[in-house]
Amino acid sequence: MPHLFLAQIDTSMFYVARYLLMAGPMIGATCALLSVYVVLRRMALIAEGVSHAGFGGIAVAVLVGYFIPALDNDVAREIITGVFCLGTAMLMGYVTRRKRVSEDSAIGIFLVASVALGMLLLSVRRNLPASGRAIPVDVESLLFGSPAAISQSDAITAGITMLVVFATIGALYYQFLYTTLDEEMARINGVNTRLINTLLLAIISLVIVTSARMVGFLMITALTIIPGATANMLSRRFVGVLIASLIIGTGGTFGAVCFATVLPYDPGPLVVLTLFLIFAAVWAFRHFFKPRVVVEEDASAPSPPDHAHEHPGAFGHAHSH
Amino acid sequence: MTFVPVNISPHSHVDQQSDLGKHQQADDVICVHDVSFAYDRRPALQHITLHVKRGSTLGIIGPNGGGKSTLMKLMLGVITPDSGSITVLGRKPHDACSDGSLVGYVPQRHVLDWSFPITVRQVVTLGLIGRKGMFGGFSREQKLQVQRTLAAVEMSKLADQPIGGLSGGQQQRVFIARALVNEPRILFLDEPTTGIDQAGQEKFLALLDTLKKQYGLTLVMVSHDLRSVVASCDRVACLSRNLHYHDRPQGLSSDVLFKVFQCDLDAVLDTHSGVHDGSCCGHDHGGGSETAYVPVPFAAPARKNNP
Repeated sequence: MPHLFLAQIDTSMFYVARYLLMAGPMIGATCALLSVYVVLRRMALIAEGVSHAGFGGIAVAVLVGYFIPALDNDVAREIITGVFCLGTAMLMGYVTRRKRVSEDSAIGIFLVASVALGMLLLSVRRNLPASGRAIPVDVESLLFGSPAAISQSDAITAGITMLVVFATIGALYYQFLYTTLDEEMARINGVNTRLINTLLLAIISLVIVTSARMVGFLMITALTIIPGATANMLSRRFVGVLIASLIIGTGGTFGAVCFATVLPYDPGPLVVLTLFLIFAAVWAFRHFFKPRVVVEEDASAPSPPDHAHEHPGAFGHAHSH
Repeated sequence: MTFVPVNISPHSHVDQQSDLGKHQQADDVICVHDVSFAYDRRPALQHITLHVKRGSTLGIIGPNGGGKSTLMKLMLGVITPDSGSITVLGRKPHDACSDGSLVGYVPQRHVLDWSFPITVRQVVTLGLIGRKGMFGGFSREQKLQVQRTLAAVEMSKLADQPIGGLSGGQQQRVFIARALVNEPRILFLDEPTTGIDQAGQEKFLALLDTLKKQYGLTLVMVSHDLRSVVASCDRVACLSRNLHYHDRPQGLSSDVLFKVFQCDLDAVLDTHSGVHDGSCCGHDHGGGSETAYVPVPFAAPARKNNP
């Protein structure tokens, strides 16, 4: 009964959760922008590997903070975790480039090793003399998020992250686009693809580290995949995909966080399930009705024929010799 | 396709009368000198020496894994040789290619994800990325250049279409436009006719010929399609780790093709018309003149009873 439900809503709830309500949409927007590139470059598994590396990274940061008290604070922990994530991502890429290990195997190996390392280091930390200092994190909040702990500084961090990511991708828009479309040709045509790839991994690491407090390392990847994957079904123009992804990611996250504010449930799973439901609805709509629901860059352009050219399914670009 | 016998002088790497025997630095736009390359100690190319003259069309043929695409990547500067040297218009290959206005490249169509949400115009515009600054967009003049290039390849009407709806021949035109938008002097094409039907191939080769004259291009084409190479190229290089032949297509003999492809001429050409004068592949490779079978492109198919 909607009127009974609405009667339970106390506007003070929104004030209490104001930082979550600010940070949530910003995190959603940042992840949505990133997800377009993650999906089109088929880096979903890499993003998953990086997010799990974050769990290992935070454990490393906690241990480092124990032995070096100056680094026992949130900012230092985020920096250490970010460096760990980026290092793991680059190591995965290096191992894969040697071609002795396939990409999915490399990611799977690093993914579980990071989680195991994280669990081990947290266990080590628990067994160290307390010295009056409590362990600053717990496993459940790392994996599934601790939205109740989102503070003003977290909202500011989310805002700064959003600005940095949007500014970087905006300034190098065509380089990111060309590298995503055709990395080898981009390199031949003068794009510094190594820089672009490193920047992309750095952005993935930054976004995951700063966003994990809301949904946790286990589920943050969903925000970096679902909006882009959904938007890719809605438009055949790149700007259209970007716009659709931003609407889905920002709106879906904000709506889920609002629900979580009035309902006694964690926002992390609500955000992920909301995005999943949007994806499922769009997929079903496209699959069963096959309309041309297009977010057009130029409304006067004629609709293209509906040809499904599926990529062979490699995680990277295959080149012949 | 009709095959006619052509009498040629004894097989040699370079014909005695050929101007390829002389290395004319002023005329040569690509110089490959004693180049070798290996992937993880597996030799791909060994001691390759050839030069490409300005305004010519070189076709590089060979079996799968013979090193055709490897040679092209070396000339593009994507990879560097283990030994030997390559110059493109007097520069290192990487420097020549990153400039964009010297060298254009048309890759194999399968390397691109044709379901990517991007229009024809945007793909072609990206070819100019080396000519703009690191930040910012493309100038009005560059956008007009894109428009002119799309008109040259007859793709103006499809400029704002997503690339996912294009046919094979149209996709190839998009690639060519992206390579030509910089008005290069050399154009590299990697398997340009693969996956295109016969009629499409004829149109494509005719378009290529027109563009070559219009832009004053030198063309280097890698292909496993002997017919299209012989039909469109004035020089042919047969590659199978080593360079077995580098001269006019008329000089191709069956023993060269057998050495390169490890099978007879019929298998290489996949012919069914069987127009022969009695001699065929696998014949005596002794000295004296040899008879080569050169396909006459686009001729009417011969009747079975004709000799």
